[in-house]
Amino acid sequence: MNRVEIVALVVVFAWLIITTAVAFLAGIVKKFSLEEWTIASREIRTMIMYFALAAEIYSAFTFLGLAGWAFTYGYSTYYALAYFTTAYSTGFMLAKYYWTYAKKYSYITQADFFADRYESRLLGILVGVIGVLALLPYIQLQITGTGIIVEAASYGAIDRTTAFIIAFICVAIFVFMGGARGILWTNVLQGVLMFICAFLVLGVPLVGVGGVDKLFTRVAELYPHYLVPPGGKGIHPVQWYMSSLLLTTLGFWMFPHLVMRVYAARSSRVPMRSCAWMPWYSVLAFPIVLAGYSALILTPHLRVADMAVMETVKLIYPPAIVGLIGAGGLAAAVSTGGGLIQASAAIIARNWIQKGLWPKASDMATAWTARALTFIITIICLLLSLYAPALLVFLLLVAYSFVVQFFPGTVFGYSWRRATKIGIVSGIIVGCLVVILTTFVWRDPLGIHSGIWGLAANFAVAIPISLLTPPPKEETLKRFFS
Amino acid sequence: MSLSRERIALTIAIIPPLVLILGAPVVLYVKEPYVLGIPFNLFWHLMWLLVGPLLLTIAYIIRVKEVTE
Repeated sequence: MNRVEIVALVVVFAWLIITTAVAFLAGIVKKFSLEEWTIASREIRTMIMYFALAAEIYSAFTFLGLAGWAFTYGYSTYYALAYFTTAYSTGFMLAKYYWTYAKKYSYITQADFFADRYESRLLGILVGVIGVLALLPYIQLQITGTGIIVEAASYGAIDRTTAFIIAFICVAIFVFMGGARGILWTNVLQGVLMFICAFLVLGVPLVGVGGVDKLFTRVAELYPHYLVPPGGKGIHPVQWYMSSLLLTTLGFWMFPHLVMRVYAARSSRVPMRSCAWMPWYSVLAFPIVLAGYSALILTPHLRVADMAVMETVKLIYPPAIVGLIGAGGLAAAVSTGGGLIQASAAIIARNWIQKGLWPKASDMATAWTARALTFIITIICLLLSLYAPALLVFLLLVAYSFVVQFFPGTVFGYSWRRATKIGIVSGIIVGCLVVILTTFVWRDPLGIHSGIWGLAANFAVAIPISLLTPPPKEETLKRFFS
Repeated sequence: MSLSRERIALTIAIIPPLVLILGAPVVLYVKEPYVLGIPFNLFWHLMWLLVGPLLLTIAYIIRVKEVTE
């Protein structure tokens, strides 16, 4: 290992050790309980919440995939910039309802709401199962992303398998000890590092290409089709952009780990404020997109598109800075991955076990089960990443489309007295079946995303069936609509 | 709880998704003029990252008076 590799590696792993230590310490200062481990005892204030939600934007996908998409497809990546605005409008609208009822009725997971509002433990379990299945491929994405980032940042000195195994053992340890509070503090660290990284990545178009105007003049000359629909590969027409944006706008806040983040807030104002101001933080994704376009000019023969950021920064920065940017990417993957693992463990312990298989389990037993599941889920995801990546690719294709099927049940839950458990269950099942059909049999009919077809079918089934079946008990309705 | 204030806040909050989704068939094809060296369709997205929070802040101020802490 030469000096260059050592410098970069020291920076990357120093960050991993700091992150693990901070999360570990944040967790042990509070008394262990189910509510503390899962939703930080509902004590989180605006600054921490802001960075917690920011960390959800800056995942391994943002750091690697966004630039990779700009490099491969061009304009298609704008949909991600758009949903950084639109998804937080939805979040702003829903957060007040999420938090208010969670506080009032002591919900810990999203599935708790479904089970309570629709008087159905089975619906809670169904939502919990779909939620965890949707999170697994995203955990795997963070694991794979970690490997790619560390391998690139270490100039190949550490192979990606070794890198992601070491990183995710650290993640499992800090999630086990730190729980929600530990993860939230890693998000704060990530948020700070991201400011630095974004400015450094901005150096790629400014220094490497010679300025933003020069960058787009060259792209317009050499790759004019990249700048408008249907994009670089010609596969993303405008209806793809619109339906994907609609899907993420409605689906983003259906992910169970994000709902749990809102539950962790001290008051309903905290997530509302955080959502309102989050797009300003998302501006930091802009340099990543520019780096992707810059790769078209600086490294046009790049074999792996996801390496666009790491390969272009290597052209203009010394190893220590490359290591720091690599640490930023690692932080993004690790903090997001930690949150996903913790939410999955909490849902399985709470909704599959305490509310399903083992109803007599105390809260403390459930909390310890969730903790133990942290290691089990991490090991399963690592093994799947190594030996059965195709299974997770299958789940990834349908994950977003599956969770958006919770949208009717969520919105009707707060706004429509006649929504019934049979209507909502039927809608979710039919919606998921339509998603599978429009993903694997008749792919994205009319260029519209499969999730939107599933959602349309879901509404079409949930509304009439709700009207035809007996309404929930008056006592339940009073709790939600009085 | 005043329903009208809640409705006003939610109506303001829904503006960014509506504009970005429904405006796409027109805006995505507009490369020129370049603004700050950026094609207009990319600048449009950047602009909404800045304007969106202003609208949501107004919605928050309207809505927050109704929130029971």
